[in-house]
Amino acid sequence: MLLELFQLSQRCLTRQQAFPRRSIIHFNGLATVAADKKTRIVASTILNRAPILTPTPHPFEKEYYAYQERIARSISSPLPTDVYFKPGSLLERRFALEERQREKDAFGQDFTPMIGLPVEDVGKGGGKSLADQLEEEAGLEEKPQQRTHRADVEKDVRSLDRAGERNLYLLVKKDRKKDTWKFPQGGVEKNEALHKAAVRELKEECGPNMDVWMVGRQPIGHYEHPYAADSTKSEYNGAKVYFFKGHILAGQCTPDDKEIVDFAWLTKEEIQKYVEPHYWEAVKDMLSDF
Amino acid sequence: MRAALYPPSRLDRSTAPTGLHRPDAPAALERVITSREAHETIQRAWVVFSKAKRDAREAELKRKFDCMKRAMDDLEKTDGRLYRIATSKPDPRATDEETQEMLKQYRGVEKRAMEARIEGLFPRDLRIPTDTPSRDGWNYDWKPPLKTSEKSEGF
Repeated sequence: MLLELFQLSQRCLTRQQAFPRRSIIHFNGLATVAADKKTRIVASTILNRAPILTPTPHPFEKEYYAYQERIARSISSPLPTDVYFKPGSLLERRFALEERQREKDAFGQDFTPMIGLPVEDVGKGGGKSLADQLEEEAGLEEKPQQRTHRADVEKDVRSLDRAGERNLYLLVKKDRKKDTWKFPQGGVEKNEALHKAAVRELKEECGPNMDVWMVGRQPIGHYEHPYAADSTKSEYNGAKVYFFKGHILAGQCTPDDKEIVDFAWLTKEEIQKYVEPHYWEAVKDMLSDF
Repeated sequence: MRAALYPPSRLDRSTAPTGLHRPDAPAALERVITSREAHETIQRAWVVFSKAKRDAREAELKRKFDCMKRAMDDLEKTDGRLYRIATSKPDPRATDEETQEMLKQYRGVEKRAMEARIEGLFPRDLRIPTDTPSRDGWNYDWKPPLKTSEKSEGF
């Protein structure tokens, strides 16, 4: 146990950067606005499913915490069972047996504490011993849920149960040739606030069956791009997209199958594979690494 | 039955609520920490590891904040009205007229559900990460609260 931790420590020391630092790439705007045409202002929602599982500890973290626990056990006084248990009761004997096992795990099988707790191994009167009883009870306990969901195995990107340790983001697919996968977005109407436009568009595109909490009124990022010369929105020469962050608490995206044909809940790395490179450059700074 | 629950043969120990004196503590500690060098190496590695983790987290936060600042600066240049709305802070204790009108359309459980989503309030039902997922999985069948006018009367 200790040797393993020691080796992990040495490896950790030689490799200075346990986590690679991400370089901050600055966003280059394409601010060339022609005098006669306007820029279309668009609001977009980055809908986030926060992690539902605690992160898996790094092997070094795991070993270090176990090591600290052993140190704490070695220097602390044993529990005064007389105070907390009725003397001689079944519960006290059960605790003593379990505690003995924990000490053996911490200090080695051959370590015998000077002050021993009353542990009796053999059952009286031909009955089962306490150790056997405990073993039987352990078999009856309900097993904890698996941390990997069925959706992870089947690679079902529409599932909200997938990748429980990670932040997931909702990406929608539009029925067109270019720029198909994007965050849900839409133009701002006259006299409408940006953050309200973002929520309205989200409901229009992804249906009302989502319990959404929007974090704030301020955009968390922006992306500007020019329209092609043969674009249908001919009164504009380009668009500026402002992103707003929201959390999904319950429900699921139900696309209308007209404007939106598909959707996916993706992690940061997966989003890079779905979207166009210039879109990725604009959105990558807003997304969480884990 | 009584004999099974409270067997008579038990060691008599002098006890205190704070615990017993333990003369073998140094011996136990020696088993855990085998050498000074090993312990110091482990501690140093832990500090390095924690720093790398902390730095990664701070770098991520900085990256997100810088991105937000760029967006806000750009919005200020683009549209003054939208910028003023974005920088105004909602007061969750003073609901505006629009929200009040909206809340009037609901009653009972539905009203309470809508009140929990007033702008500026943190949602209490945001799930906290756990070691194992919930047995029921994600709630896919959520429907928005019904307005009183949309509800069918009676049973």
